[in-house]
Amino acid sequence: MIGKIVELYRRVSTTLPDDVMAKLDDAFCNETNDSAKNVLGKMLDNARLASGGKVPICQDTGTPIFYVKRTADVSEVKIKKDINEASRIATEQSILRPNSIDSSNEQIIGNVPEIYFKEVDTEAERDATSKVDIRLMLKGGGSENITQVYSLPGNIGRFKGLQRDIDGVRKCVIDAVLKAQSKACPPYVIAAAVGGTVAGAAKKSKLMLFDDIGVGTDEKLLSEINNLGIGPVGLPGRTVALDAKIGYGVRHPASYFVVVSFSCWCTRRGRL
Amino acid sequence: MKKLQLPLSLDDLKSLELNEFVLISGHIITARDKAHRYMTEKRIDNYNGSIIYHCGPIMKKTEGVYSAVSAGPTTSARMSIYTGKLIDMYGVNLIIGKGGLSANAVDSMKGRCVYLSAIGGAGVIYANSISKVIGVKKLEFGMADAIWELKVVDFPAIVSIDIEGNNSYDLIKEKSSMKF
Repeated sequence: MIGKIVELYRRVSTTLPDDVMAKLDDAFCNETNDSAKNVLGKMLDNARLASGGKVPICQDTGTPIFYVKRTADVSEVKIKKDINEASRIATEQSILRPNSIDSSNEQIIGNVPEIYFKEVDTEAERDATSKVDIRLMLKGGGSENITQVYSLPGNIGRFKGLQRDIDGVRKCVIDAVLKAQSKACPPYVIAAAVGGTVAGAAKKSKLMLFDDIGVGTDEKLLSEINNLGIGPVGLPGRTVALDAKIGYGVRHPASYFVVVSFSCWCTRRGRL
Repeated sequence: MKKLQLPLSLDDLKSLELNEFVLISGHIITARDKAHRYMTEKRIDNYNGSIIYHCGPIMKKTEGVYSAVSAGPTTSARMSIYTGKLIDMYGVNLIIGKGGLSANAVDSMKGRCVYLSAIGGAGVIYANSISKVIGVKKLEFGMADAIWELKVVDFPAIVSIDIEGNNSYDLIKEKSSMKF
């Protein structure tokens, strides 16, 4: 298992998923600003160079996030040990930058992944998974820093009197994009989770980034975002987002959280 | 595309136009969060006139020699609070990063420093433009936060804050905010 997880790390760190490459290529073809087009071309070149040379696409190999679906007879402790050992080996092999810092003493401690487990009901989801289904995302720090948490109803930025409805949710996402601008490597994949506690909504929005582009997409929102005129690296452009997803969870009557998570154009995810 | 040989004179800086694509060659150093705090708390020898690259690379050591594996820019905004002091202390006249700097930082750059954007995420293109890793300081800060002294050749970048403080990020921000 350890060797397979190291190979998963290598694949995810060095190769963009097909759906992300295809959308980036669309963005490149649709771009009319010469400089922005040039930049998008360099992104595509970089991705091809990385996968050809088996080197990390971006030096920020992010926080490794694992989403593990397992049947009842598989031990979480064992999987966790394997993942931690694979992370150590991947760091040693320069597939990952040593990215984990103990905030209490500022010591570098290699790479300590965030791991989310879900026990699968073998009867109901037998087709959906084998005994264990491991997904990995390398979540960049820059795009993590532009995460926004909103609470509706209220006034948000230039938008006054937002209600607890789809228009309110869309305006939250647009406000988040206006704040982010091109700081964190657009074109972005954006996932907004509605409902839950703040922690629950934040987790949900993060897990939504595991889904392919086009799953859960709000097309109206995506087109409004891409009309803002924000391109890459402070340039005007026609594509600031490759995808804009909205997902709903259960909420308390008093609360209506909207957590907006971003992933950079280097959206790196894969499945064992 | 304009080719630039480092270091740059004031006239060179004045000739750089907003949103212009350039290829730079010469010596630069990486500095991000910890290095900025370190370099502005006390004066460090030999960094006068340095060109600063906001970057935390992946480096590999083979037979005692370092080479860059992936080395794109990191978000510059976090370095904004140190920028003015860094320019005052070391005479930095060129900063390379991504995402631009705060209004205060841009004010402190006027007339003496230009900001170039490197393409975030393009780690391999930038690693390939590093022809030599000359040295490293403060490796105890970690691979990402150490100060790496580099020689680069034809490093691609875009002029995002010019010598007069015109800021392409601000222009886009204003325009995009007008849409609603």
